[in-house]
Amino acid sequence: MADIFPDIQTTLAAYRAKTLKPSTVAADLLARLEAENPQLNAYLRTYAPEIAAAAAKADAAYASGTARPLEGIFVGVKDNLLVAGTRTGSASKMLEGYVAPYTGTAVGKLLDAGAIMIGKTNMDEFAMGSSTENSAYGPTKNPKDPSCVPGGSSGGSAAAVAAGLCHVALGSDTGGSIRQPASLCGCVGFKPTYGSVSRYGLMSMASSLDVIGPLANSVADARVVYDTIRGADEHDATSHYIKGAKKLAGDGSLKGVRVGVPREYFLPGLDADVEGCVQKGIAKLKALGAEIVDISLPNAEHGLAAYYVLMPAEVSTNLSRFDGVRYPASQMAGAASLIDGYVKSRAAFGPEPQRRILVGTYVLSAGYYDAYYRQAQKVRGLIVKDFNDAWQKVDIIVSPTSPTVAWPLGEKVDDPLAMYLSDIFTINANLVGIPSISLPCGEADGMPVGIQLAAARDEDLFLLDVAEAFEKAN
Amino acid sequence: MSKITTEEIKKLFALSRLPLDENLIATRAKDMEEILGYVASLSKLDTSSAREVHGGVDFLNAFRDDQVKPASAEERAGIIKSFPTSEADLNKVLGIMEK
Repeated sequence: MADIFPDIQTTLAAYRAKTLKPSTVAADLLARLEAENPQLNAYLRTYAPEIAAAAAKADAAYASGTARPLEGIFVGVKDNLLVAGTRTGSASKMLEGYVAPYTGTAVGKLLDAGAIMIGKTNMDEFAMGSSTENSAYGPTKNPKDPSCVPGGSSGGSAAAVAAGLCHVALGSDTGGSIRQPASLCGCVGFKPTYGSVSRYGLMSMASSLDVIGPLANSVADARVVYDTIRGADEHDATSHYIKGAKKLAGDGSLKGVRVGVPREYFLPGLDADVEGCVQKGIAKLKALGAEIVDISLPNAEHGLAAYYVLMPAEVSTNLSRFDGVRYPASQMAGAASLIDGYVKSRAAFGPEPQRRILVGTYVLSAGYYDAYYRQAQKVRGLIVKDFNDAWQKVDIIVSPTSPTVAWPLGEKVDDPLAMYLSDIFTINANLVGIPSISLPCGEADGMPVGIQLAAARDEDLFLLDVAEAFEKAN
Repeated sequence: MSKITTEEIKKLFALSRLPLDENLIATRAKDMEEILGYVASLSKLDTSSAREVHGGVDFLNAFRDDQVKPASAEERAGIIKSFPTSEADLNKVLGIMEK
């Protein structure tokens, strides 16, 4: 909200001009958290004493002229990102009592730049879900309408941004978990190129798909966070510096930018009002000077099916570490055997992680591996080829972010497949590893609609430039 | 997609090291059938010319020399503190061999 959280550059300028102090913002924030978070459940835990102490230090840094680049910027951090000395638990009973022993790279870079962590945001358990209803600590509510879901899995981060409970928040995106909640809550959600942000300190869900990125009130704020957290890291062999080269004309227009509209993304099943908003968004891109090009991604429709083979396979492998041996929540004591202790300890997983572990185990089993897992990897190859072909013709691909607006709490909770389908437009960017961003583009039935823009791998800065031009024209 | 039998579900729970709740067998079987039924569409695609893709990045080998970098005292203490059962600074676990 504009009163205590204007955009980052305005805030920093006010701090430097001594017209605003971090401690003043902190006091307002703490009052707002006390008033609003119990209902929204955007944060699982907040750190009031630490926030006040860090804000006082930030005051002193500005007074002495030693402020760091993001001194006094308040951030929410998704509960699957490790921060030394704090409870970190991926919103799961499996990690009840776990205190992170180290700080992950992305969060560490923000804190080193002077940002102040407000607390850990709610999420679907181990990032598995599209509504934040799979949290073991109760759902987050959508600030726009508390009877509706905020999307997921980074629903707490999206709600915190939309409700004015932080400047920016970090999320993670494995199949749309930054962009879809951003769309449903009416904020900006940026999923960077796979590997352009280190995953060190992110609890692994599906390692070939997971990316950390920002949720923010504006593209400019998302860019500030991305510029701070990106880059190669010795702790993550897949991390790298992006090498994108595309540039805009520099006059605020999108002249020379070719925007592809995949015909496979505008089919029955897409809410008519959502489509209307996105079509208006496409018209806006055209009005800015972009060339709109009809394209085909023939295998895109199979992305969701491939994802629901590959992701559970990786989940079942990654989550095998939660066995009652390494983490405090354990039922080993009194177990008849090591295996008995494993099984009893893993009862702490909620229904969705259990469901995905079972599917993953099935598709990796002898006799099914080739039919499911290997075939899905080949389909992933077909989709990568589709996108590579598209980049020969266009610079940006546009689509809706979510086929619907936010739905009422509880509506899809007993229908896993219906829940999975809400990620149908976001999945392919993860399978292909490309950057993708969701931007607000109007409302349907009084709820926010997001438009999704994607660019070729490593063209993150170009994508942000295009997104910012679109945002300014709004 | 063929029907998932009770025996198959039980075997999957055992392989997954998940506790079997007899009351949930029918629900989990139905979930599995729906999800596997949905992803079965992949089998109809001609992938004879497709390459298997394991990740979104064409990886280059990220070699570096092995270096011993001990954890900080705080990090080490934090890890040890997370052990469910410890003796001195060792993680105490049940034996892997049964008598």
